[in-house]
Amino acid sequence: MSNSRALKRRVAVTGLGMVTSLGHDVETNWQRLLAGESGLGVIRSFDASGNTVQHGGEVDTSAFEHHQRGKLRRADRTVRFATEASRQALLEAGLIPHEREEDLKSEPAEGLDVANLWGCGCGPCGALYNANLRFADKGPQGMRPSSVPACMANTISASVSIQFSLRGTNQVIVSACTSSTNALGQGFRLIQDGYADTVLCGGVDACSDPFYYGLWNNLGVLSVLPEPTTALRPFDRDRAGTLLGEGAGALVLESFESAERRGTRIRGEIKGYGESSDATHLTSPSVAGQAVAIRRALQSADAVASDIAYINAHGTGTQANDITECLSIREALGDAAGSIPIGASKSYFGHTLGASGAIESVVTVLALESGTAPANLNLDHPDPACDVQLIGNTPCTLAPGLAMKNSFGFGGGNGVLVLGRSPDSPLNLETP
Amino acid sequence: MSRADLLQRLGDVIEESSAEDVDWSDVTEETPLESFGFDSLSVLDLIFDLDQEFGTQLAAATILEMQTVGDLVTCLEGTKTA
Repeated sequence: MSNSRALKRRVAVTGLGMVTSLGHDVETNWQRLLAGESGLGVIRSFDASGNTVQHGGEVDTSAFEHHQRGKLRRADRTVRFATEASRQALLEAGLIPHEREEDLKSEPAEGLDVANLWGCGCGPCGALYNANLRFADKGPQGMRPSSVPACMANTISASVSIQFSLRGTNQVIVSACTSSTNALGQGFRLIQDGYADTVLCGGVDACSDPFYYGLWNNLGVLSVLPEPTTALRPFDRDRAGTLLGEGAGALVLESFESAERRGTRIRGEIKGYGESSDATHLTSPSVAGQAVAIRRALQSADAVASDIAYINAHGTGTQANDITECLSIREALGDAAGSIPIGASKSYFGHTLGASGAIESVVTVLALESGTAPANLNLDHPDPACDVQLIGNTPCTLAPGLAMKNSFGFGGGNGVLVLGRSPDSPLNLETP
Repeated sequence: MSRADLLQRLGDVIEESSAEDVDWSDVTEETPLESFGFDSLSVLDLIFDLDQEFGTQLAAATILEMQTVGDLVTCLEGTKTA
């Protein structure tokens, strides 16, 4: 493994972007995460009455409306979130000039040689819902011609590509809640193996319409606890399910050579990636399948369990996920699992489905960078069946080392990333 | 229907199908159609929306040859339902 890695390139994180119900930029999200605040509330963007659960994490688009215009402002929420998170990440990475914040159409003639990989679990739900409404109302004669490109899942990556003149490949990976961790993993490999120098990776989802929300409500996985800010309780004894959130996360991945050549600040590193399929059930998770992905991620990073100083868990707050994930961590990491602080981010902004891997990878980069992981919000009584070292109700100081980001999805897809600090980090001295 | 009424109804259609943000209160019959940024896809939406609103069935080439909003109003004047 060491010999093969010697031929591979290191992958830096040089830009971050984030839009959630907690905040419309990275810094706001981070400060509110550290403060233990919740972005969850009563759903207001559509009529959720008739659903057993009427809580979630909604994004207020007015906060970034001034960055979007014309058709983009009328596009599906997934496209709008992805575009805004991309803008933030590309801007930080120095790949788009600041003046384009207000004039995004003044594209460079030659474009940017940047690939663009997105993960999305459900596609542009709002566009699909609206097209279906028109069909129900008027039949085939009611369908606008642009419904086809508006409803295709890759309208997300295509729109980002067009908006920012990104001329590398653009693709959307659809693998439920693992989608954007898969996108990050594929982007990591593209750079590591020399197929690309720079890849914008992201995740987005927005089940913010009566149809898609109703589907999730009827699946029975949403928390029926009455207070939205405390209803999502990963690893807690009294957890009752998850709540949906919407949003997007974006990370610019770049070869170390490219980042150093451009003089761009490196905020973190993707060290490894592993994936697997349970091949057992569409919705029931498997310890064996998840553990394989965790082991493969460690192997890919040339790391061992004791190198991991923090795990940002999938942590959905459902009975099945949380117990299975803890068993998987134990199975894959052995005794070391008992001393690694584990936190979940979904209690802050909800389960953002296909976006969760990217959004929570941004959180993981920030945790490594600051040496502090956010608290496990609402973890009042840790479930004894979750036999790992769960971060408590206050932020946790991290030891030197690497971090792991888990994502597990319906369909049995598992994706795990291993991340490291920037080489320039003063907290990095003992990182392998 | 008067040209003024047609112009007003046309505003709702173009605001929906244009690639740009449109403030119809600033639009006159002399406003160039190209200012709305129609391309080969969005012009199909425009044709569709004109059909839904006015019962017209215009060809894309016909619209793309028009210069101004007034040209389009004139065209709509000639339709049966407008």
